[in-house]
Amino acid sequence: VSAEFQRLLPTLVKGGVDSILVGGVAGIVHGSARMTYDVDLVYSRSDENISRLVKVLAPHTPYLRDAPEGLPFTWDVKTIRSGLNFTLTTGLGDLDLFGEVIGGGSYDDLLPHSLEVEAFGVRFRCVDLPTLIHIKAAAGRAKDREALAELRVLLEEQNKR
Amino acid sequence: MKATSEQAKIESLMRDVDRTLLRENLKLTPAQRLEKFVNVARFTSELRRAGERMRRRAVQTAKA
Repeated sequence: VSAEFQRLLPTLVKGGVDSILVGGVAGIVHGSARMTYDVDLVYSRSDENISRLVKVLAPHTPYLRDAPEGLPFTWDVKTIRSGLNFTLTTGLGDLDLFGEVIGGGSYDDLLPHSLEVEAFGVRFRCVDLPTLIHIKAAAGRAKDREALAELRVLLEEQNKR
Repeated sequence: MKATSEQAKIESLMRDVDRTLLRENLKLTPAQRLEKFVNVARFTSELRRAGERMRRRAVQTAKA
């Protein structure tokens, strides 16, 4: 995780980008003790939001992560509209942007299953723990098994409180 | 059948989760959890850089 990570969410929030935190960092918000190295966000695919997203991240030179050198990639509205999910490296750290996630759907689908969190001087939305578990389980990846087990234990511990 | 087997694997892994770490994290606010994460991330980044410096020095020493 880049040392600039703590600037990433405030930058997006202050730029008016509608997004919901999912993935490992969302797990940390809920109490996970697992380390993660990128930030996963589901972003709204509305035209206005895509324009804001492009504007806000442009100064931080987003580029496709692990792309072959010289691969043409232009960070603009057309590129974002033409694609859906992007794994990026940026000056603010590694960032995965999802138009949709398996088991969770789009930003609009996830919104009712998200909570407002305050950190780094801003308020942003984070997927709730049951939905995060559902998304991880739906992905069905072997590498997620330990994380999924931890999230389920977290839910048990939270329910005891 | 496949789902049941997957479920059994997850339940087996749940037995190995260190609940003490989670209980400590649950005492914190979400903002404090994220601050702790950033501090751990800084610590691991520094260790990674130290490791890279050490490997570079080892290569230079071997060449000398």
